[in-house]
Amino acid sequence: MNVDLPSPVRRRRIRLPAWCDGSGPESDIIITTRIRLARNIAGFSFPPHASPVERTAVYGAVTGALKAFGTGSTMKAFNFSTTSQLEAQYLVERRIASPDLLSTDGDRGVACDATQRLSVMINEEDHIRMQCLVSGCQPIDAWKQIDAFDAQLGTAVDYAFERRRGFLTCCPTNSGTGLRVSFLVHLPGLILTKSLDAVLQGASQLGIAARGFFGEHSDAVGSIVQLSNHTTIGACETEFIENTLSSVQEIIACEQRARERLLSEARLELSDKIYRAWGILAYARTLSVAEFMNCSSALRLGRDTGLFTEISRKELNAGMLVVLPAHLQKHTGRPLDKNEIPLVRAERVRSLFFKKRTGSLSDIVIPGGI
Amino acid sequence: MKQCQECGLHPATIHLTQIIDNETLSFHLCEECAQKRGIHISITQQPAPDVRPEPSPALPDRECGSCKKKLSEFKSKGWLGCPSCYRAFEKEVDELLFRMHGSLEHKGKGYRSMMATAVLSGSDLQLALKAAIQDEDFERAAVLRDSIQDQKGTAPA
Repeated sequence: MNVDLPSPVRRRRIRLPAWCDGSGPESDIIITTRIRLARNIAGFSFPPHASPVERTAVYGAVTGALKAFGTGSTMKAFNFSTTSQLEAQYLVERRIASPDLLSTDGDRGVACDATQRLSVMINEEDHIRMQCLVSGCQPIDAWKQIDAFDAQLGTAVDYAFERRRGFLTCCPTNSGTGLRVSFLVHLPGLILTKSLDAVLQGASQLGIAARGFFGEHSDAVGSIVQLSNHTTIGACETEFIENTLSSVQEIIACEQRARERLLSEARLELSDKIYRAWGILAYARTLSVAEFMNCSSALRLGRDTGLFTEISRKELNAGMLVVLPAHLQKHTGRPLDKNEIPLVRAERVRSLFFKKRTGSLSDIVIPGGI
Repeated sequence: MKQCQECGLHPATIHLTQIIDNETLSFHLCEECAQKRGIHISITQQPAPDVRPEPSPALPDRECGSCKKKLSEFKSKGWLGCPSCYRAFEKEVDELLFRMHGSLEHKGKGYRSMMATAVLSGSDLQLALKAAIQDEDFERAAVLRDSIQDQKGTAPA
């Protein structure tokens, strides 16, 4: 039977961020590493308490400072008070702006480099939240980049800092280093063996906070969880990073054991689940984000366990972005209503995953032993 | 014998224990004070009256001298208004930080604020610190204090 391939919807080419390349150590489980630093400018109220005039002054000071030095000068700034809603939502989907930034007022936004590896949110909860987002497990590399960037920016604006308390933040729970290191991890093994909750409870005892793919209060859709440090004061930045990494590696070891168990005890069921997911993505005429993410998770697990080789990690990472509403609308070049989006999403997935393939599922070689 | 916890003048002859919402409250009163509170000693069983102490008048709300953020707002939302709030609500912030992080001491990277002007030194810094405290500019005061400590640290023995 032939796959009914749609005519390619080729409207706008969307440049993918650097982290989508799927490179870096342990990228079979750790999708991205992100390090964020929170900073505020001395003499100004924190954004939630600031007047519109103060927000404008802070926005101007930060964007002006970015233009003045090397890395920052190549950044493009998006002021959410003048940017279209679609563009702002697109930047949120890219994980360089937070959803909270959409709902506040006044001059606020994000500046990022072309690869979106380095970005700076301005006037969110804090005046400055800078982040380095990289593929795989590269916390030291990310730290070096963001540390250098922070040092440069700190010479152009005056950070609110006290020796005893460190960098002062709007919510005192972020004060001190202002550092949050987070790993976006794919844990289908723990979910399928029903051990994720227990593992995350243990991690919580070690000071690790867990959130879903779409941030705070979101579910582990697509078996993807963000793991980050809870504590920001009382140790130096590299200690926080190393301690968090050490706990995350324990979770990864649990995931690897769960995968080995699935492969030895339920290989056929696992393979069945993977190829059913492949079938849904090939034939579905409508797709929700959750359904795509869950199918994509099965394919990712198949790829990382050697049961499925049809698709690259880079394509899977790209898929996580291009199925989101603002990305679909940017791609089609027109607004889409909520009934149209699931249809366009299914079409987009077929275009992305199946366009270059033979079009026949019978041609797919299933690895031996299944 | 215990004295009446209400008047403190007479021996407490009435001992009452109430458990409300899993909270145990004990009262030791003299007869006179018990009657004032509506407690009548009787051999018939009556539900015990509510003798919880009148809620003490709420402490007056405080606010940050710099941004006027109220302590009550910080307590309800967890957000401070400006860097000076760290000084204005020092006790409350410290309690929160210690509860969450188990530490109050920054051990990460340092930062040399541009607010501490390099030209100030010694007694000038002390004067500037006094002025900043008088102006309730605690942010600048903290920076100046750090600078004074830095200078002490680097002074030849």
